[in-house]
Amino acid sequence: MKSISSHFSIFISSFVLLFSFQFTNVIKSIVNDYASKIVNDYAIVVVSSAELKEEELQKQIPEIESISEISSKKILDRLKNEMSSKNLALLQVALPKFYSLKLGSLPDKKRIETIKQKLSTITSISRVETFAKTHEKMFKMFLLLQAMVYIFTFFVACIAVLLILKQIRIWIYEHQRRMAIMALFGASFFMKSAMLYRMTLVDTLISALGVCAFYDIVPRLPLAQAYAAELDVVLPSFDWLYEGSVLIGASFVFAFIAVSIVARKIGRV
Amino acid sequence: MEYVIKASGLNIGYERDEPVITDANMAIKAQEFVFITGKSGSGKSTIIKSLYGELLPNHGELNVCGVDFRNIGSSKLNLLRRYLGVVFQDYKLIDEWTVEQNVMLPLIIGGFSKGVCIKQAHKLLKHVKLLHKINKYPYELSGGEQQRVAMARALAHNPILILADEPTGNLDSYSSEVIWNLLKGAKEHLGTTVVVVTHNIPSTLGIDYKHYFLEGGVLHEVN
Repeated sequence: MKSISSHFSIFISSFVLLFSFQFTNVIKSIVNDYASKIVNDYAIVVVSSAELKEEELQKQIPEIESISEISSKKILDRLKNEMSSKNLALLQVALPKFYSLKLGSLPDKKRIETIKQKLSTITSISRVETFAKTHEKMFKMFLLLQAMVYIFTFFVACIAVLLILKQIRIWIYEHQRRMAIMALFGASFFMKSAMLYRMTLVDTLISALGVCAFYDIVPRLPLAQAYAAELDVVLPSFDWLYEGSVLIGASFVFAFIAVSIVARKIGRV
Repeated sequence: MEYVIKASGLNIGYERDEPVITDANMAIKAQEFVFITGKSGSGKSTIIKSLYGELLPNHGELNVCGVDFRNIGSSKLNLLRRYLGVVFQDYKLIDEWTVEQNVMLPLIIGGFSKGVCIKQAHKLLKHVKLLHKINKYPYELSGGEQQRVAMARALAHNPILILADEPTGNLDSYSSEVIWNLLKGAKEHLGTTVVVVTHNIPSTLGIDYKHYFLEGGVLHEVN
C-alpha cells in the first residue's frame, strides 16, 4: 500500500507538471493561430498615383507580406448611371490606384506609425490608411491573450515547483533510512540512489505517456471538435515525434533533477 | 596483514574537543574473537562506530583491514565497508524490503549475481532458522527474529571482520544462543575476526577470546 501511494504521488506530480506544460503549448498554439487570423483580417490601405512594386516595398518595410490592388471597378460601376461615359473614362484614367498591404506579423501602434511614415515618404503615395483604432483593439486583444497564457504558465510553474519540493521532502523522509543503511554496507552514491532513480524514471515515463495519450485523443473527440468550432479555434493535433519526445525528455529531466537533489541531501545527512 | 584492527592514541567523539574515547590502543589479529565490555554510556558503541567509519577519529591512528583512516575518502570507506559485517543494536533492517532482500543487501552491493545472492540468503536464513519467513517484512518479525536476520545479513558476504554492537541485548535466550553460535561459527569455520560490544560475556561460549574493558573513556586490555 505504501509502495502504491509512493508511486502514485510521483505519477501525479509528474503528470500535473507535464499536463500543464503541454496545456500551455496548446493554448500558445491556439493563440498564435488566432493571432494569424487577426493578421489576415487586417490590412493597410494605400492610395498611389503610380503602380507599387511588392519587392521594392518589402525592401523598405520587411513586415509587408503581400500587396494586392483593390479594384476600382465597383466605384465606377456605381457612378455609371450618374456620369456620362466620356467623363467616366476620364475619371478612370485620373483615378489613383488603391492597394491593400497585408502584414506578416501583428505590429504594435508605434511600429504602425513608422510603417505609415515610411509609406508616406514614397512620392507616388498620396494617402495611407492604417485603421489604427481598429488595429489597436485587435492588438490589445492579442496582448491580453498572450498575457493570460504567460500568467497561466507562471502559476503552473509555481505549482509544479511546489509539488516537486513537496515530493522531494517525502522522498527524503521515505528513502533516508534505506539509503543510510545501504551506505553502512558500502553502497556507492549511485547504488544507493539507483532504486529511487529507476522508480522515478519509470513512473515519470508512464505519466509522460499518459499526457501524450490525452493530448492525442482529446482533440480528436467529436465533442471537443464541436466546442472548438463554436469558439472558432483550431485544436492542434499532437505531434508524437516532437512533442512526445519533448514531454518524455522533460519527464526524465524532472525525475533526474528531483532524485539527484534527494540523493545529495541524504548523502549529506 | 598481521592485524585486522590496529589503533594507537585514538581519540573519538561526536564533538572535536569533547572526546568520548581518549588515547585508545588496540591490536586485533586475524581470526581473533574480541569482546569490548563496559558500563552503559562508557563509549562501547562509539568504538564500534569508529571501526566501520560512521565516526572518524579526532586524533590518533586507526587501521582497519589494512585501510588507514587518516584522510580516508568516501570511495575507500565504501570499499572497506564491503569487507565488514556489521550487526547493529537497533538491527537497521530496511523496512520496505523482505527478509530475503535484507540478507541479500551486502551481496547486491558486492556485485554478486542474483542467483548467488538468493542461494546464499537462503543458506544463511536456514542457519538462523528463519527460512520460513523469507518473504516477510521486518515489521512482521519479533525483535529476536529481526536480530537473527541482521546476523544473517552480516555474514552473507563472508566478511573479513564482523562488528557486533550488543547483538543479544534484549533478546530471548533462544535467539541469543543462535547469535552466539553463528559468531562462534564464523570465527571457527570461516576464520572471521569478530569484535563484539556487550554488557556481559556469555559464560558458555567455549572459545578463546580477547577482552577489552572500557571505563571513563579509557580502553584497558583485560588479561
